[in-house]
Parts: sequence; C-alpha cells; structure tokens
Amino acid sequence: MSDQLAEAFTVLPQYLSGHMRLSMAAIICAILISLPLGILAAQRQWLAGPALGVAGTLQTIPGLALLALMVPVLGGTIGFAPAFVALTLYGILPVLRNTIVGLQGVDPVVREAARGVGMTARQSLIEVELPLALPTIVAGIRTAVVWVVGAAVLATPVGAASLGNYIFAGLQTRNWTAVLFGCVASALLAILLDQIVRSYEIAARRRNRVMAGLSTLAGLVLIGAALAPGLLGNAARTSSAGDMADAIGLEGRVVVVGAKPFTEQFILAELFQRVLEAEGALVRRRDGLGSTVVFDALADSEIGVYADYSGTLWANVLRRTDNPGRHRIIAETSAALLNDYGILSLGSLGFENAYGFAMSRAGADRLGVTSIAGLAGEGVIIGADSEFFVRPEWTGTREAYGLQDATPRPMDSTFMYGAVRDGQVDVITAYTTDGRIAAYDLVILDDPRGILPPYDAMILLSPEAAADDAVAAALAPLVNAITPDLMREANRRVDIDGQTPEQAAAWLWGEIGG
Amino acid sequence: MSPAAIAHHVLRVEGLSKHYPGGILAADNVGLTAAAGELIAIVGESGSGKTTTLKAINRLIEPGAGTILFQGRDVMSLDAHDLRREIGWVMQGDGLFPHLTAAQNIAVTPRLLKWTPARIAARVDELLELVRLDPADFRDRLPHLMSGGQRQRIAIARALAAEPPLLLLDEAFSALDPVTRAGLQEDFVALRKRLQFAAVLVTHDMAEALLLANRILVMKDGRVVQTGTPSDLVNRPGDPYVTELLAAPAKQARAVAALEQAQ
Ligand SMILES: Nc1ncnc2c1ncn2[C@@H]1O[C@H](COP(=O)(O)OP(=O)(O)O)[C@@H](O)[C@H]1O
Ligand SMILES: [Mg+2]
Repeated sequence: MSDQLAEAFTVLPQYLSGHMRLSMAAIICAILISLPLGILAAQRQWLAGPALGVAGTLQTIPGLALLALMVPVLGGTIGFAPAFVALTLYGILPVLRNTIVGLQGVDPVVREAARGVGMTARQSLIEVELPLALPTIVAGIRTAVVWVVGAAVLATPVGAASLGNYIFAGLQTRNWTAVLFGCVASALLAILLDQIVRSYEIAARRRNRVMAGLSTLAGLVLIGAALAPGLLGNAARTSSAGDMADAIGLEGRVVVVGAKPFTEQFILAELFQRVLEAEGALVRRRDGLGSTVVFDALADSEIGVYADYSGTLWANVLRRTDNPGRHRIIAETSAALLNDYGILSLGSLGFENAYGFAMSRAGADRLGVTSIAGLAGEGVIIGADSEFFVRPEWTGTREAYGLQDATPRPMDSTFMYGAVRDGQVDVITAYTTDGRIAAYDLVILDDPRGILPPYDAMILLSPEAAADDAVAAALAPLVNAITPDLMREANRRVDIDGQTPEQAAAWLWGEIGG
Repeated sequence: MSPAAIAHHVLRVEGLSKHYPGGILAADNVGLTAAAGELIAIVGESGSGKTTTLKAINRLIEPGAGTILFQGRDVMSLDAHDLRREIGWVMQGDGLFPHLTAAQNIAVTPRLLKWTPARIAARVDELLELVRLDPADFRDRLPHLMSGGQRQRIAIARALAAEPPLLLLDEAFSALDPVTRAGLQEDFVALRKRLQFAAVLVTHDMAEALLLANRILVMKDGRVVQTGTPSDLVNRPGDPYVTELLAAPAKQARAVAALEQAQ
C-alpha cells in the first residue's frame, strides 16, 4: 500500500503538470473564445440561439467520446492537441451562457443611464455592463474550471499525460490507491483553481489591488508549476541518457512506447522501455490509449512501438472474420500491416492472450459444462469488455453454440473476474493470460469448433521506428521470449499482489534472462 | 438665427413628431423653447408623450420629424455622445450605476470629457455640498446604502457635474414621499438660482409644475394642448383637460385651507 503511494508520488510532478497545462490552456482558450462571442451574442438574438445551441450540444457529448472523436478530427494526432481542443470545447458553454445571461440581465434602466450620460456603446459595455455582469460571468468561469479540470482525466486514453493516468492505470491494475490518488489530486486542483478565480472576482468587485495581486501571483505560481516539471523532467532525462554514453545503437533517440489500458499492456510497455533504455534510447510513454487510437497513432508514427494481438488486428484492421489458424493469421496480419501501413511486426512475444469463456468452478459444476457448447439454452449472463460484443467472434460463438438466449453484460474488464467469482454473472470472456483465472479458480471452457481466434501478442513498430534497424535490434530479444505462464505470473503479481507494473516487468526481465 | 437669439435660446424644438413601430404617434408636432436659465415643465398624464419629447432632445431616441436646436445647433448635426455629455440628464428612477460610489457616479461625465482627476475630485465635493450631502459621509457610498431622496440628490449632482447649460429631468421627484419631495424641490429651486441652468422638467404632477416652472407645456396624446406661465394656466385654462389637471391641486389647497380656518 505504502509502496503504491510512494510510486504515486514519484510520477506526480509529471501527471500533475500535464494535467495543469492541459486544463489551464483549455480554460484560458475557452474564455478567450466565449467571452467575445458572448458579448456579441448578448446583443444579437440571431447569434445567441445558435451559439448556445452548438455549445450545449457539445456539452451533451460524453467527455470520453468528445476527446476520442478529436483524434480522427485532427487527422490521427494523439496527445496534447486533441485533449486540448476537446476540453476547450467543453469549457465554452458555461462561460458563453453566463456571459450572455449576465449581460442580458443588466437592468435596461442602467443601460439607458449609461447612454444618457454620454457613454458610447463600448464605454457602456466596459464600464457598466461587464462590471455588473461580472459575478455571473465569473460563476460561469468557475463552472468551466471545475468541469475542465475534472474532464481532463479523460485525456489519458488519447495519449496526453494527466491525473487520469492514475485512474485508468489504477482501474486496470486494481490499484485503488492510484485511483483514489488521481481522483483526490484532480479534485484538489479543481478546488484550488476555483478559489483563485473566486478571489480574483472578489478583488475585482472590491477593487482591492492587494488581493488582485495575490491572486495573480497564485495564478502565476500555478502556471509556473505547470510548466516547470516538464522542463526539469526533460533535463533529468537528458542527463540520464548522458550516463549511458557507452550504450550502443539508440543513444539520444526518442522512442515513444504506447500501451492499451490494461495490466498486461502496462507491463509490456515497462519491459519495452527497459530494453530500449538499455540501448540508450530516451523513452516517452503513452499509456492507456484506446484500442483504435493506439493503432492509428502507430500508423502515423505518433508512437513508435506497442504490443497488439493478432486476433484483434485480424478483426479490426484486416476486417477478417474467418479463422485459418494461428500461424496463418500471424503471417497474413504481418504482411498486411507492412503492405498497407508500413508497420513492421517483429513477431510474437511468445504467448497468446485470447478471449476464453470462463466460469467459476462451482458454476461450471452446477451446469455440468466443460465446453461452450454446454451453455446452449441455459440463459446465462455473459460479462465481457464492451469491445467483445461488437467483434465477429461473439456473433460467431453465438451462432455456432446456440447462445441466442444468453444476456450480454458489457463491463470494464477489471470487474468481470470478481463478478463471475461472486456469481453476479455466469460466464465471462476472460483474457487467458490474466492472473485472476488461477487466483479465483476459474475454469476456461473448451472451444471445440475453434470459433475464438488466436490472440498472439505481437511487437509492432511504426513506419518511422521500422526505418531504423537499431529499434528492431533492441527489441529482438523479446521475440518468443515470454511463455504464457510467465505472462500470467507477471499479471498476477500486479492484479493480485499489488505490485507496480514496473516491478512486474523487472521480474519478467529477470526471468527471460535480461 | 442671429447671435443674440443663439445666446437667448438654449433650446428650441419645432414640429417634433415621433412614430413608434405599431403606429403610435407619441409626439405630434411638439414645439417648445427654453431661454437661458428658464425652467419648462411638460405636464400630462401617463402615455401623453412627455418622455418621448424629452428623450428626443438629447437623442436617446431619434426624432421622426422636426428640428431641435441646442444652443443654436441642430442636434442631428452633432455627435450624439458629445451632445449627451453637454446636456444633464436625470432619468425616471434614479438611474445610478449600482456598482459605482456616489463620487464615481457623479464623476462619470467629467471623466468622459477627460477632465483632470484633481478638477473632478474638487467638482464632486462641490456638487455633494450643492445637493446638501456631506462629502465625507457620502463620497464613497454605494447607491444601495442610500435613501431614495439621497439617491435622487446624487442623480441631480451627476447630471450637473459637467456644468451643462441645460438639464433634462424625467419625473425626477415623482417616486419620493411627499416630505422628501418637498425638501428636494425647495433645494432644487435654490440650486437653479445659483447655477442658472435651463431645464426641461417632465412631470405628471401639476402642483410640482406650478411650483417650479417658468412656463408649462400641457400634453395630451402626443399633442401640446396649452403652453403658458403658471399664472396663465391657472387664470386662463385654454382647454377642459387643463382645467381637469388643475382641479386636483386646487382641491387639495382648498381642503387644507378649510381645515386651517376650522381651527
Ligand atoms: N419604445 C417604444 N415603442 C413603442 N411605443 C412606445 C415606446 N415608448 C413609448 N411608447 C408609447 O408612446 C406613447 C408615449 O409614451 P411616453 O413618451 O413614454 O409617455 P409619458 O412619458 O408621457 O408617459 C405611449 O403610448 C407609449 O406606450
Ligand atoms: Mg414617462
């Protein structure tokens, strides 16, 4: 537990500064857009309606979807840019709405008084209407601050470091300390920024220079804090690369390692980082990327390397639904990736992480089943990650084994193992390398008709990384090096024993003779 | 117009008409003049076009037809903002800026005219004293911390701040209780004696007009039904409507007199 807490604190500067940079940039930009727009719209109903309509519609898009949508909108770019754009859009509505409401709420008598004493429209706006609307506008800014800082945790799946990295990684590795840490840190940040904005408003209303100065100072300190760790971090990394001057091949080269949001991927990313750094590379990490985001990012060389599974690529990228067998699938997938995307597959890591229909031993005994075929007509509830139910193998399994009466229940993969153990669902589509299969004494049902495709873990290099033999050479020792048992044990260490992915990767590296 | 006439008439309104959308003819061929230092009262019931006439003078509304000369200059040829800075304006309701102190409210027009801070500060104190409010006490007070009468005094001070030759007042005393109103009216007479500005005072209260005005314009349905001095109106009412308007103050005066005799 305290190990996890210590680990959480070591990455805090990076995640916190990423989070602050992102949310502050988005808030400032949202204000710069919505304040002038709100001022224009307050006097023009034809503009106010559509502007509020568009902003309101953006607001109803779930934050995660809005962030994910920005990746294709920005032509496949991941990282800061899509998160920044999405969060800016997210922050526009409250400021826009409150600017319009605040300005329209100014007593017409007061507005006429401003004209009557000889103010121009501009003077009236600046000296009378905006000051009177200020409390309402500031309330809108404060809402935007809280929303944006909160939503910024969703930047993790699109590849921008934020406090969401704690939450997403923690959820997948059952590290509740990390989840809580991320939540508390982002809540504290939201409260802090909110209070700075609030004290600014009070200072403005009371025309209190000292208070305004202090709020400005606090704001500047925060901006400094947002920028500084990034710079320090870079400096530290550069010097550590300097220490490795005797390493060969990759010194000084930046390689970005990606990972999808679950334990095995985090461990493999740690392993890739270890191997690459040993050759002198400067490794950047993009953890917790969405399944399609990570592939697009690789194709665009936004990231350099990650591990993906043959069955996933077969269905999602090659759009194939047949199952010609494990080795053909690897070979055909590798060829297609190179041909169509310039992505280089180094081959299998040596283990398969397939979907397997798993039940608790008691549940399997009660139904007397050892194979998926035995589930037909039993009306079982099947828990699986939401991706599974839209894959062809679900349709295939359902047709082949007569599971039409089964109830799909999509859920986060973290929770499905406990759910089947506790009898909340009857069957789950477990990942066959998950440590919890053994720990919870789950039974994997046979697939006699071979419907579920193989899922060999493959090392993939982006076109840019593939152009340099040194990257491939550095990662080559990992090819076919990890047995299913080793991977299962490494996963178990994180999911059950509460080790960090880094610790599990270090153990794994030791086992495979690094 | 001769230079003498320009000096004589601060304000001359001729043939002013104003149609509002919806076909209401709010002002119909209205004419009036105000010599330097003269107070003209416009009297009429609610909706008779008083405010419309008043606002046309400083172009808070654009007149439809007619000419309005301010110090001999056609107001339509002037920049509207400059014009309003030269004419004091006390609107219906006090119209103070709620986020500004008394001093800041009074200083608004001088600031727009780019007076020096020292001159503005001196003028603010001078005006607070003229409207009989203690500068030390009131300078930094926000409007919501003042009584209705005090706010109205600040509104008058604000209108007079830039030393305008003409003041426009729209029901400036109407919202006050009778005692406060009487006190303020008295002070206003004294103020005018000292500063010698001309004024157009809109009111629905004939008694107030009789008390304050040099000349009275009676309006009904957008038209001027009679113009004259208070004594002209009282002694030679030219229209049944004028008689009707005069009846109320006369009746009140008689009632009070009768009670006094009964003592
Ligand atoms: N902005 C406006 N639009 C349409 N009609 C108006 C407007 N302002 C005033 N009116 C109408 O013009 C007439 C005169 O109004 P006003 O000059 O305010 O009268 P008064 O000040 O004597 O009460 C009234 O019938 C009123 O309803
Ligand atoms: Mg009126």
